[in-house]
Amino acid sequence: MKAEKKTKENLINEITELRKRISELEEDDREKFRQLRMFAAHLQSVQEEERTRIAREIHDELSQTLTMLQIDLADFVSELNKKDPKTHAPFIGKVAAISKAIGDIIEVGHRIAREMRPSILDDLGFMAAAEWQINEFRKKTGMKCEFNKGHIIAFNKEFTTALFRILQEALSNVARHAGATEVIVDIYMKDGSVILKVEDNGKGIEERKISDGHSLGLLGMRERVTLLSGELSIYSKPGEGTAVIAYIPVGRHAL
Amino acid sequence: MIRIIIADDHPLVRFGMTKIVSKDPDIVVVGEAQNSHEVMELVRTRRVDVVVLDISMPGKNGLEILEQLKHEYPKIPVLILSTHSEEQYAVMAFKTGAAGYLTKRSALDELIKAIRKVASGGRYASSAFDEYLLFGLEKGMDKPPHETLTNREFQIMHLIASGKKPKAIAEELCLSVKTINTYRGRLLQKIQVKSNAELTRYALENKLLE
Repeated sequence: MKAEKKTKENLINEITELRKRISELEEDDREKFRQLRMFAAHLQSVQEEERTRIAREIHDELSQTLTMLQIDLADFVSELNKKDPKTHAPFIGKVAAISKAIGDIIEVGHRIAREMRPSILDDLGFMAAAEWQINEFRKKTGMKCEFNKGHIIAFNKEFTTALFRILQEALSNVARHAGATEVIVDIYMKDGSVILKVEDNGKGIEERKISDGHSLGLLGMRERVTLLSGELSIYSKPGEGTAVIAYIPVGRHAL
Repeated sequence: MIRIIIADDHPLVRFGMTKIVSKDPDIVVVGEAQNSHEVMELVRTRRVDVVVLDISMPGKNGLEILEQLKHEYPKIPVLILSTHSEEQYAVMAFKTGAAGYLTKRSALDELIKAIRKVASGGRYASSAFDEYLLFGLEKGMDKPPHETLTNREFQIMHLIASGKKPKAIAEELCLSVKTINTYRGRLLQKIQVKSNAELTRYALENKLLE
């Protein structure tokens, strides 16, 4: 009898010990998860900074220098013309071709810079950048895209970037997967939060794909929204289009 | 004779632009500037008919310099020179009071034309832009008044309407109280209200405070 009681006590002790251990491990896990999330956020911001720097370098230095080179060439041509246009005619044609090639390089540079981080986001703010992005989307995909913009306040860079990248990701999902012909984008503020809605009339997403981790695009959007204490909802049924709605409190990010 | 100043932080660009305008005997470059301070100094000390201004200068950017210029010397036309070919930049430049917007890439063919046009009181936009850009702005008269505000004015309207005092706003935006009051005067005029209370009511009615 005594021995039995002892065993029971032991067992209870052991269980308590195990429970404690489990909760410690869980705590550990949460801490690791928190760290991982912070690290992801850090990587994101470092990446943005890097992109900003490279884009600006291409835009301000490279393309300006090339533009001035074109002006030099034009000057050179007019010198040649002044002296002896007849003998110089073949050179003039050659120089014009070189100048045109320089123009193409400038165009490529601008494209690369814009794809890295559109300067419009830093210079003119989120709404102007959104408008530009939606125009690009229309041009690239040929889809009809309605843009309803409400009034928003000015936010800091972190918030502006996240919001813009979410919009880009949502639009690129539509372009790549939705098979849609029409898109409606709504951006407005309500009760101190920004609401960003991208709806399409495409083929929709299956429910399991919405929540599984394989869709990195969705995961990335969710991550950005979560980092800003917001919520991301996706409504979709096969054949009935998709609506992605981000709901993000502005809070301390207001300027 | 059209007397211009060229403001760009890039010496190569100033050199290039000077070279382009030298083809026109009527246009004289009376000064070059590489920051906002030099621009204001030149405008103050010389007779200037047109300011050719880079949109992205270090420190105070081109649009801010434009705002200051239009505030202190509203009569001198400013031609914005820019590497950006996105129309949103042009729209913002015109909204802020520019007389012209030219991309640096089109400067070679259009700079002289643009300077002549703005010097005679006209408006000029790079031929790369659609005409509707300008027409859209002209048509903008039927827009609600707050849409004609610049970003900064909108921001300050928002802060005033949420009950902040000029001193607090000045501290928040790192500007002087005097500047805030200048902005306030201008935005009251644009929205056509007379007091902060009326401004707040306007903002509430148009759901600008949400």
